[in-house]
Amino acid sequence: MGANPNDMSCKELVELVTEYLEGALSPADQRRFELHMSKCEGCKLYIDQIRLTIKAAGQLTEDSINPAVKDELLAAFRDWKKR
Amino acid sequence: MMDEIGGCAGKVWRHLEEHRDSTLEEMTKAPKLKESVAWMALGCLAREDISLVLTFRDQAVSIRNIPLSVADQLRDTLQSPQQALDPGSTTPSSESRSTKASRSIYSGSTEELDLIAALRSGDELAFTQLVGTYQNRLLRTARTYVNSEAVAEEVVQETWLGVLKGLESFEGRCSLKTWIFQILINRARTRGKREGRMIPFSVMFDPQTDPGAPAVDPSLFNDNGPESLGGWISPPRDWGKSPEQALLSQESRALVQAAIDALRSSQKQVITLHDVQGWTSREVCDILGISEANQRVLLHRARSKVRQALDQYYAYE
Repeated sequence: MGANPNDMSCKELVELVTEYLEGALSPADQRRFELHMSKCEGCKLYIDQIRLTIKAAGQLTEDSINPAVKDELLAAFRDWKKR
Repeated sequence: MMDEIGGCAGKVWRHLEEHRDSTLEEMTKAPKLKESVAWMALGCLAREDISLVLTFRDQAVSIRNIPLSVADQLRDTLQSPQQALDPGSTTPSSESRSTKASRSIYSGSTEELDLIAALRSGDELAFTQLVGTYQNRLLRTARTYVNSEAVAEEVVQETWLGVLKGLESFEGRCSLKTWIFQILINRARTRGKREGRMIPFSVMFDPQTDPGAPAVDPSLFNDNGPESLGGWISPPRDWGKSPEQALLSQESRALVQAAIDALRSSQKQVITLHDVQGWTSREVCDILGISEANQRVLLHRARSKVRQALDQYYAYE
């Protein structure tokens, strides 16, 4: 990237990705971030990969429960009801 | 008459925004409203899909506006429909609002109040659904505090017993979800400490925990400049033709899970609640007792490391 001291470097950008995605950057930094991103393929790809990482993490929640545990809990609920 | 009620609804809303907890008496006194009109104004607000919690206890009526975190969540959903599609998200979506208590429940919703009433009356289906909604999320969260699956299961079991014990006295000051997770986290922390495997959250900014230390390996970047200072030495590589598809595979789930398991517990807790289970940042901060800034640092480190694990596996030269 350019030599302008105000420009954001790749090294700086990768450390600000979460703040950027969470909308926590100052307006000035957000402008510097977006300006850099618009010109740098490597950083664009990096941000895409962070987005994919977040998505992959979001797909971890599974839905099946051990039936034995469920029965045990239901029994506890019935006991509780009797009190 | 409708105009009058509408105007009062505005006053009541403003009052509730200023005083998140309010009794009916305070609510009629400050904005100077007749009780009957105040009730109609509340009814009017409720029709606008604004959730209010009315608690009847010993003849006193208290009125509570929904927690800010929930309001944020609602606003996020309205602004980005994408989020409602996130499978890990607990954001209320139209689907979850119509299927009662099946996926997500939020404080102050009629669904949640109905659910609490059903649980208190001993409704087994309601309890089974509640367990269905949270069991695996609780287990996953417990695992970030203790080192074995067996201990995590015990902690979750104790949590449910704690929930049953506290159900009668649950006041709805936070959402049911937050309350259940608070019980879990308290127990998991105690257990983790007893096992001597847990470092208190406050001192968890490790050697690499120095908040100023970079999360991404600095050797990836050029340090002689000035032209290319801080630029990639070798830029990130592609993750194949259809990385989204690849990331859905069983293999990459295992990879992501392993990468999360390998994180320090503070980072593990934050990424598990925020990215895996779709909690909002504010909810994560509230339940873990950390600042938004700390939360972001931990989340950033965690994401950077998980990305790196995926990168080592998927990157094509």
